[in-house]
Amino acid sequence: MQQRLARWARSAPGYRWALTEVLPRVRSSATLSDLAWRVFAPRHTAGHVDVPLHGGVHLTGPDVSRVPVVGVVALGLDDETLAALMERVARLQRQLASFRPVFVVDRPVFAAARPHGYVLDLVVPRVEWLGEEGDYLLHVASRVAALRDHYQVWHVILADGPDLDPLDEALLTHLVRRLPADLDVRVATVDGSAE
Amino acid sequence: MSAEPSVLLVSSNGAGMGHLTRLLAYARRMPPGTRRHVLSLSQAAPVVTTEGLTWEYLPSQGATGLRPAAWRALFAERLGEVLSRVDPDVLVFDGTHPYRGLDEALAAHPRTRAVWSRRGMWKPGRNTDQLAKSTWFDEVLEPGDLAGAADRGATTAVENAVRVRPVTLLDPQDLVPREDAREALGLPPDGPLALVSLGAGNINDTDDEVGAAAAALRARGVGVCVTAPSIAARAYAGEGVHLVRHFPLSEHFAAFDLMIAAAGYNSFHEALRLGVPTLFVPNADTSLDDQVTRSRYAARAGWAFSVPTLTRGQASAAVDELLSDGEAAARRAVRADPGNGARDAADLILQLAVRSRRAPTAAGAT
Repeated sequence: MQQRLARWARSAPGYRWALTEVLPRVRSSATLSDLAWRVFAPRHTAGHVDVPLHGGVHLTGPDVSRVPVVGVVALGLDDETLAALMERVARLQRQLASFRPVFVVDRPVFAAARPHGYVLDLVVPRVEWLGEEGDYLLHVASRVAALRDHYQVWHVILADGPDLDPLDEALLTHLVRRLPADLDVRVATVDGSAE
Repeated sequence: MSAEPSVLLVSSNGAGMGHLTRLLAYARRMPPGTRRHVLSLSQAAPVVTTEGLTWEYLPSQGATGLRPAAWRALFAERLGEVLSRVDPDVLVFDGTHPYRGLDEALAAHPRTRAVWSRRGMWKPGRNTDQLAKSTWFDEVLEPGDLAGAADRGATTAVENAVRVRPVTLLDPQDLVPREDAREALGLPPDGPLALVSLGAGNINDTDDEVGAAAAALRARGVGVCVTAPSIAARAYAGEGVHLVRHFPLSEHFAAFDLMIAAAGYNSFHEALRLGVPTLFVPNADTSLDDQVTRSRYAARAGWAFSVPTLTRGQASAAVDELLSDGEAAARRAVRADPGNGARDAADLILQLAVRSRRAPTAAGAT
């Protein structure tokens, strides 16, 4: 349905003209840009951006897609440590209800992620990288950049063990205060309903 | 460009292991020096290491929950990055729905030739809009179907596809002997055993069907083995069954005297080509794969048996028939086997690789 609507919009009379003529003029004018921003731009602070993403089974509620997405980049860890990290993140998520994680890892720990319902994105492990060391860092960097572009992450955590950095934990705790008071999100029970 | 041909195998998500297994069937029949790399949207991707292949994983739209448009942008970026890094001579996409973004990535990497590997037997009238995407590819490769004569789906009208014989990962000579197979799977060495494989449970809940099959088999003194594939949403938890988890499980088919299976492309062709007496219980809830037609065709041909369900008291008679006539049916299926098309498919892919290397600046996708 959405694809058909998008095709229809793209084929509508004036679409091409609006795209190539009107939008560039709006962008090049500070006044028009400000006006368009005031009229059309949605609020973009924490808890206002709607990002459909499977952020785990631990949160539920009608506004769960507005809970900020947090990238957790955890490379060079073994399977056991990654499973422990996911448990730690899950406990925090149930405690704070302030974020939804998406993990970037270099091990196929699907079985550990499945009970939590977390999304895993994988990079090539460093030991299997055949190119230059610098290229590997660029490979990881491109994946982190993709987190920002495609998952619209609010914050990226670099984890080097089963626990999070204290500052990251403090940030996730602080995030609770920044969320809108009317955000309807609850901690899920074991059967998926709200507690 | 390396000295050896390089192939990137891209599998769509799917509900089972079919797409990935078919790509492995092609890869296995390529010369040893061929660089074979897998980009998979399936969480089963790590199994390809058993074939000596390297792999990487890209979460599917369904796995991420992202909006389709957002996911397509992610897919296009990631595929483009892999194409630049791996620089394959040929990309082989196995799936029935080439994702938007594949065309953009291929256009940005014109040296790479592209093959769309897609099986037939689509439900009539379904997925017809996808066929236009064949223009993204240099070749469309259709693995044959033993029930192809009954196919009424949209792919039957396609004239420019290269059709090969049915494709399976293994051939009969690859089967591990019965005793070794049972030991490898941790199964009792003696007594009749049946394999019950009714899908990964990712399409619908098949516990009732598995339970009915298990009860009927046990009542007749047949031990029950249930598959627990790595991508299954969860394993069947009934009592008194052996859970089997191995890839490729078909190499241990000699461990089983009987099979009760869904009629997906892989299970269907592995059962018939490898000569296992089989009762098919087609999954009618698939979005595209016409398992019902495939299953009925095999029954009409006398190669196997088919029932729509084992529940509502259907299991006993079906299992009795399988026990009494299954071996004869399996022998008929083996006699009708035209052979494995995987080598033909691998040859086609490698011919394209040669063309890519001879004309490195030619546009690949049109």
